[in-house]
Amino acid sequence: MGDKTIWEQIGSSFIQHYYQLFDNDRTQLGAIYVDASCLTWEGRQFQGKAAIVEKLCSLPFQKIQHSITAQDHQPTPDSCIISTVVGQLKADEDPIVGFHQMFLLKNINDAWVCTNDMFRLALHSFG
Amino acid sequence: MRKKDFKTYVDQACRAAEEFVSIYYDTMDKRRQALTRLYLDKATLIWNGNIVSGLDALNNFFDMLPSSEFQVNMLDCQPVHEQATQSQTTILVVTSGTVKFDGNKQHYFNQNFLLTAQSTPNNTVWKIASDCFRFQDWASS
Repeated sequence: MGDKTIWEQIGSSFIQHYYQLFDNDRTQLGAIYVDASCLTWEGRQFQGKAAIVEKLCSLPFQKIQHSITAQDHQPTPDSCIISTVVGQLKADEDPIVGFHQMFLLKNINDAWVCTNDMFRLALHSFG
Repeated sequence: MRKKDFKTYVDQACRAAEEFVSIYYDTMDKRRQALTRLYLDKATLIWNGNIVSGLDALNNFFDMLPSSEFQVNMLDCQPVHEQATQSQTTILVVTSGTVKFDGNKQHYFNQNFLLTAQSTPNNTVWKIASDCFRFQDWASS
């Protein structure tokens, strides 16, 4: 297998950073969103960095751990990156549940930020 | 963008997405040979980790893929803000559901599309720029 493409490098680096922040201190996630960002969380829309961070910080668990099964990264025609993650998560003492998440990443002022984020639990599948 | 405008923008995007998704899976299941008409010439697909790039490769890929029965259970959609795209209107769509390919067991799947609008004076045609498909149980399948 050859070296990773630039979008795989950026995408996988972002993914690692995102879930590390999410699992350890969700209050720090603001840095990866901008005012134009949109989040769709389990079908509900949140617009803008502030609303997104508020939603993520208000999620009702103390402990959370994500485990990534697979990730895919693609460049878009206008130099953004789409990163897709399939995995499992465990919140507090709840059973492990599958999830799927997609991020659109854009380079703004030399930093890669997330402008679009869509998350769904895979409630039908067990492990 | 004012909140009201944003909501209208999202609603419009979601209607377009629903219509596109309906056509896509119907074509995939019943008129497979016409499927690549829904893709841009330079579109890329990642299918369970395999990269398929450009129309020739896509034609070949979908020709070899066994016949399918898709059932979409969920659809999420977001318009992509002008700031993230240079010119054309763009929508992100995520679908999930079940699929059975001929000769294989049924799988839960997730798929996401980046759609771009090609506008003519009479209507707007949406085409896929990027496509990513994976079984949810990919690791154990």
